[in-house]
Amino acid sequence: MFYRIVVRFFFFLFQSLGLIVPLLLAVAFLTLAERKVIASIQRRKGPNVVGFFGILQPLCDGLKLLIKEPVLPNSANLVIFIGAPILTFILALLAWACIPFGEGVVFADLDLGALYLFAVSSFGVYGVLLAGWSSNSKYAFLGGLRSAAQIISYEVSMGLILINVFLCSGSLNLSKIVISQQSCWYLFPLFPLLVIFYISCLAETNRAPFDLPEAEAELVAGYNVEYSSIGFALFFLGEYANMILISVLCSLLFLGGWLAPFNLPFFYWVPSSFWLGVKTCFFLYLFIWVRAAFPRYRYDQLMRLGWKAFLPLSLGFTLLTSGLLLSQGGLTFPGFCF
Amino acid sequence: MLFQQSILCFIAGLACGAGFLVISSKSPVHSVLSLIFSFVLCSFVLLTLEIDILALIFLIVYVGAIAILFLFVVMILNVKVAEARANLFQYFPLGFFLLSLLYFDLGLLMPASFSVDVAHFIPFYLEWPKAVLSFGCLESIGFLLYTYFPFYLIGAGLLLLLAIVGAILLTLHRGVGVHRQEVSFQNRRDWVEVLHMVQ
Repeated sequence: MFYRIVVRFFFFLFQSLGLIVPLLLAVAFLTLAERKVIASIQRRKGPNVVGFFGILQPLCDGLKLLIKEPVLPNSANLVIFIGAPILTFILALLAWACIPFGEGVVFADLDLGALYLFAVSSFGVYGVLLAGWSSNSKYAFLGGLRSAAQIISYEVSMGLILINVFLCSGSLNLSKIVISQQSCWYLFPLFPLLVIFYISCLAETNRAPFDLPEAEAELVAGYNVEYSSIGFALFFLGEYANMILISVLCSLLFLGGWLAPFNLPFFYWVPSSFWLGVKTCFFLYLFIWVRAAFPRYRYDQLMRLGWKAFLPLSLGFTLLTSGLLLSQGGLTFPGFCF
Repeated sequence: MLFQQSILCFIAGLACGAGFLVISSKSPVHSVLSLIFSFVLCSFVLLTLEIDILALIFLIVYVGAIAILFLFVVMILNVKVAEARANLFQYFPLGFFLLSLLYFDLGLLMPASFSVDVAHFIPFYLEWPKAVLSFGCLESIGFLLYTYFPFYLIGAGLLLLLAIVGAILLTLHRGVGVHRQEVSFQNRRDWVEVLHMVQ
């Protein structure tokens, strides 16, 4: 009995480490890729000193952050101040539990996986808000408030777009959503929704052109202005892990996840997680490209885009999709014979 | 079964403790944080009861949206700690009254209005073999809500609509002399009419 519990514990441990370690490596090299790509767009070289083509640069940066002195502000609310980055990082890792990397290759095959993802990603705002408040600094506080309002606004339209996908697939299980795209990726029927979803994702992860919470020019660095060393590193890791997560989610919901692009036998020899990786990298590249290409939005423009453009559009699309599905008899619900 | 019940009691007790922290803590932000903690624990209770869809919706709606707005407002307000501390006990009669009202509502009226024969809700068009295999919590709740209790759903929707309209009416006043950005106006501008060569 005891032996079995130990074995199960270690199995669980290795499973989780098998998710977390590659994720952290991906975050590290995503920062390098971002700097390289932006450098290329701006006709610079980017990091090229440490290691071959600067490949060891992220490891050096991480080491630098780890061995720096953690500075705690004098009048900060210490428990929340230390807890906020930890919360952000944990939530960024937690969401990966229900991401399927292939047919059956998933840590927890939840029946309501997409809803779970939505719930966990909506908690992400707490880390930012609490960090901004507990720092006891005006800049950090304003950054936190901006971030909270922004994330809540864009979550509404994201939820409505998710409902469209659920209607088409007839399931909230991410594996089933991917499998239901076998004949046709949702990219083709729901293309406008993918565009809206992706722009909402940019706002949800506080990335350019919606990176108002950390607008350097007016708020210094926003909510993480008081953080140094490991606290800052955790925020940084959380932000980039969320970027990767959102890209994976986009490819699972709209680009057919692990499915190969065409039904060719040659493509089935390639491991399924490779296709998911390729699609994720495409969305990640878009994140970086958008950051290099677009200027930052003004705050009222951001709010207007969220509430006056995306919300009515996604609501209208929900009505349109459900109406079309109902009229064509496409609402799949096992157990009923309509 | 006993194990599950003991876990349930433990989590529910923690939720009650978090609820007590809400009214007893000095700082209003700490109160809201305890409230969030109690919401999370309540959704754990629902998870223990294996009502996963309600647990997740509880998390998304209460923790992900409503509590964030609470936290937002409380952080912006500059509430003095001593003020909140001074007259804590004068609200006890009102609280007791509300509690008894809630107890009366939940304990006496609700069971009477919902005690219906389950066999009444078995639809004739259900394919039982498939339904047994695939009915989860989400399907069951959706099925009952949309076929047998649609008026409750529509009533809740009307209440929400009323709340939205009321909130908009209360806050809608267009200031005079406030410059707003009108995208259509900007797009309609023609440079020929706007730019003039000064001789």
